[in-house]
Amino acid sequence: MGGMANGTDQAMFLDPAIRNWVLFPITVIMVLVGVFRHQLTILMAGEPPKPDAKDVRQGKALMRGQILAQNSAYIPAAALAARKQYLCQAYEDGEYLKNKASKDQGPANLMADPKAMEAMMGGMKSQMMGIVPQTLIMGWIQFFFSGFILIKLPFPLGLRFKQMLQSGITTPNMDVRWVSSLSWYFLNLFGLRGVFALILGSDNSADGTRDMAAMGTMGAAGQQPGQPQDFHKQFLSLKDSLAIIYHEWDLANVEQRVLVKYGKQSRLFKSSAE
Amino acid sequence: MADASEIYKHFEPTVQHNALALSNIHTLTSWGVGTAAGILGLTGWNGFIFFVACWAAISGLILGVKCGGQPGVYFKSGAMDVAGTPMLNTLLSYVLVWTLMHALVYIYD
Repeated sequence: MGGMANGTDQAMFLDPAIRNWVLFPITVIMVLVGVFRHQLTILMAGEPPKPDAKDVRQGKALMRGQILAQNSAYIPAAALAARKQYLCQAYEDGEYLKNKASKDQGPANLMADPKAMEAMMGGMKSQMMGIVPQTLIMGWIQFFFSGFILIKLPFPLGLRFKQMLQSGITTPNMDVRWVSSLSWYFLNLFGLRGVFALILGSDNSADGTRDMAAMGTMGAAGQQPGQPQDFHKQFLSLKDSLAIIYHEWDLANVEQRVLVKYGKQSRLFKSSAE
Repeated sequence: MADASEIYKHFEPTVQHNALALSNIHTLTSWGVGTAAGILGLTGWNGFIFFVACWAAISGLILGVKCGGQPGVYFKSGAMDVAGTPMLNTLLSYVLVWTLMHALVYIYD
């Protein structure tokens, strides 16, 4: 079998029926379940909830302030000053808030806002979508396909893995390279990610390992998701950061930059305009 | 010069398109290379050396022919994005196919 003169090389041949009825079915089932999960996730995501005009206005007003802060270098100083003054005043007065009257009351109760509730349920649904199929398939494999050797790995592993990979088979001397169906499941889990990317495009929901990683972080971040944003506080903090912006005209030393770019001047000098 | 120019440096849809194309190339070639390794009967370290050699050859081809020698134009992190980061993912795919083909040819009757 490959002509290796290894003293402990155990040459065994397996029944082709195992190949037909275990090896291929496991792989095919995993691919199909992955595709099914992807389509189901798309189906269950449903329509995004229709946003209220006032909600959108809140968010966009915040974005406008942030964009101004980011791009302050590209407009003249007078324009920046005018925008700054208008926006700071508006944020202070709560012009853009959804309920202008209740601006000092703090964040709304989560349960009272139906839209936030729906967003939370959607998150939980997609998490369930990830965990359940993996658990089901693992249970199915362990129920039906346990107690026999499925395949031989072409590469050696340490003895510690023997217990995990040969689960259910009590032969102490068999090479670690002979493994059971559960390890074939793990191989497929990691190896089929490329195939899913090929079939389903890049942001597919068929990836089992991504859910395992998500489960790890779920405990830490799971407490956060539902808090509604307190726009009034955000407006105020944005107003503070806007107020201290210093205008740096991007065109201040543009003539020097052009000269440097075309090699007529060796480097930038500090100009008196800055 | 404002720091904001960094944000507008890369056009996001093209970046994603390039990443997907690269991923497809890696998947298809890893299946081909894995099949070759399995049929050839490579085991142990030989299989991994074969993978590294083929990975170097294929990355060289991608950089030379597809990127025209300038990976920085097509990918955010240049050559590292092409040859370094996807290596682990492709290795897992390769091991799957290598195990499968090796078993089909040598283990089953």
